[in-house]
Amino acid sequence: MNFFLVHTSLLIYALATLFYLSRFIFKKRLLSNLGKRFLLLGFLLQSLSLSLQMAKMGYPFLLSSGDSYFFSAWVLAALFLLVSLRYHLEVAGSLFLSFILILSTLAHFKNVDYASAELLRSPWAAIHIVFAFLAFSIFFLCFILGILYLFQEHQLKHKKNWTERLPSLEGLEQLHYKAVTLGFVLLSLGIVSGSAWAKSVKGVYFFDDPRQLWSIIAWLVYAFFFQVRFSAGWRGRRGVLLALIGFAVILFTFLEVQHV
Amino acid sequence: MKLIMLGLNHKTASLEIREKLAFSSEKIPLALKALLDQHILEEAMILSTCNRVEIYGATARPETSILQIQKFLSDFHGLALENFQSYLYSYSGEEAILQGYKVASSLDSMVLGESQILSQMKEAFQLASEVGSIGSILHRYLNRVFYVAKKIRTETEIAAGPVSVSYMAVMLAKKIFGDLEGKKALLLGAGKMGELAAKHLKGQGMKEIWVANRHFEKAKEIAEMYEGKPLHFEEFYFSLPMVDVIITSTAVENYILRPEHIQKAMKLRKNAPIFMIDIALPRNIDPEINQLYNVYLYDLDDLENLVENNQKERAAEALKGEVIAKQEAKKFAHELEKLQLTPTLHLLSSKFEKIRQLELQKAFARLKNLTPEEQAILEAMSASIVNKILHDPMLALKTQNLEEEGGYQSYLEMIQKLFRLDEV
Repeated sequence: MNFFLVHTSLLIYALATLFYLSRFIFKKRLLSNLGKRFLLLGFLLQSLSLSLQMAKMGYPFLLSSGDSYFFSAWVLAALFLLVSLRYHLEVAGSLFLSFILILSTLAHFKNVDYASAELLRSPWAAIHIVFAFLAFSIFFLCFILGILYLFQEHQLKHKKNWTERLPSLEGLEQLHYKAVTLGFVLLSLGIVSGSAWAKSVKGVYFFDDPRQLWSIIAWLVYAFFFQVRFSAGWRGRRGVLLALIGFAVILFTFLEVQHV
Repeated sequence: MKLIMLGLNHKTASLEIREKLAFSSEKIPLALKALLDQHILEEAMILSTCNRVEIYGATARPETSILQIQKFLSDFHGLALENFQSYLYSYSGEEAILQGYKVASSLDSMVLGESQILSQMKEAFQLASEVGSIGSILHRYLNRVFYVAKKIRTETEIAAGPVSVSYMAVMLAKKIFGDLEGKKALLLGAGKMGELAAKHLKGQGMKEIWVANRHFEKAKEIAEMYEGKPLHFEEFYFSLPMVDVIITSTAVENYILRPEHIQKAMKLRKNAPIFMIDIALPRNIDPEINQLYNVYLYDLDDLENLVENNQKERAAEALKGEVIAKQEAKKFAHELEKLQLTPTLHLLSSKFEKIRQLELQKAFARLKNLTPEEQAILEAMSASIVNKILHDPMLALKTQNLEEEGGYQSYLEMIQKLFRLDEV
């Protein structure tokens, strides 16, 4: 990795996070606009750094846990930039950015080389990794949306003052639902491609790997989410809570990945 | 030239007095012309709304002009001055500037944060421009007024959150559903407030409004106003699964909606959220209903509490607005004074130039045998003396910060008096 680019992008993400957080205190729209500019800048630097890495190393290019953290921070930044093109989610910005910042910091301090780099040479590895990262970042978005929904639902139910800075309750719920659907599809693809990878490397579709187990549990939780949403009318708070449980499992799976 | 203003508003005068002194938009051009023709003001604008009558103007003699405007008001409206003089307020200079900022940004309004006053002010400006009573000072000033009003509105939260019950209800509906298009509302009863809420809902794009009333004729009448559908009162229970917003304002003495009604409806709706507004007194909806999943029930007290919170928040924000207004008023007053510097400096140097020319001619008349070279030397010497004498005071006026030492105005007046510039 090009350390200059990595360090600079980390610094810029830290500034962006600071701007988003201070938006809460000073209530100036300018601050979150600045935050978004910095996020974009950090994202571009990260993209440059990743493409240089890819050009230099060829395939595979994610060789350490640090690389993975760095890559997930990049995917999250891309996702947030995409979502904020259409939706008014400044409040989510500070949560999102804090997490991106944590991931990019982890990339520095918890950098362990993957022992079994030859495993990554299977073409299924790339497909699996792309789906897995996309699924994770989409579910992270669901997590943030879920938290915002629960907060706003609580305010409305208990007749507290509400903020104009969030989308409507139903708008949030719909967005959450769409994101969970997308995440579910990606997760399914990630599981299938992961099995194919296992087959190509180890000769069996399933083997004694906790990640496979956890991701299937997460898949079941989300499948249940769709089931009860349609049959039992669990739209709203209950569905969101269920998706939060699903995300906890996903998070566990994600952290497990670091111990290959 | 100074900016002055004189007026009265809902805080100082009763509606009765305000009515008598108001200018209709047909009369304003007449009044403006009269103010200019009678040399009361050099520039003038009249703002007349149901809450205030204010005259803004530019004049060289603030005190006299203010007295003359008072007399003018009395003559124009045929009302003896002693009947309204005590309700009037008048300001000049920075204070007048500040007043306009406060008015336009609604800091002086009955409802803080309302936006109507700004458009009324723009209309007043428009009207005065058409009449031709706006000169360089008022033009500059009013553009600044609009800028400051916008600045206060965006930099503080004086306009945040609804401050009327019916509007609060509609904003809550939008907060819950987002887009109201494609949603249905049910209006139970024919209370004033309920009707007002229905009107706001329609205005925000609500697709259909169903109206149920004990008297079907009344239901029909209201439904027609909002292009809705009238229902017989007994029918409304069947409509519950179909509607997203329910507003009750009947005179029925007990609860007409109980948890079991809504529970059944929610099952059929698959828990699609429902927003209920009970603005009846006594209440029409069992408050227990708020405990149901995805049901949001607000009664009159809830709405009023929220409104009150918003009002308090606006009042707190208004303090920030005042600070901005004061800073801006100071800045503009300073700018106006600086603007007047230019003509004074011009007068000063042209007076000196005249003196120099005169004296030079006299000298040339006495010294008859001067060569052109010697004439040029005298010419240059006199010009240089004048320039050097003027250099320091000119520089001081242009560059030094005279603000703390009594302002430009007093300096300019002194210069004008010392050098008798009014005689030039």
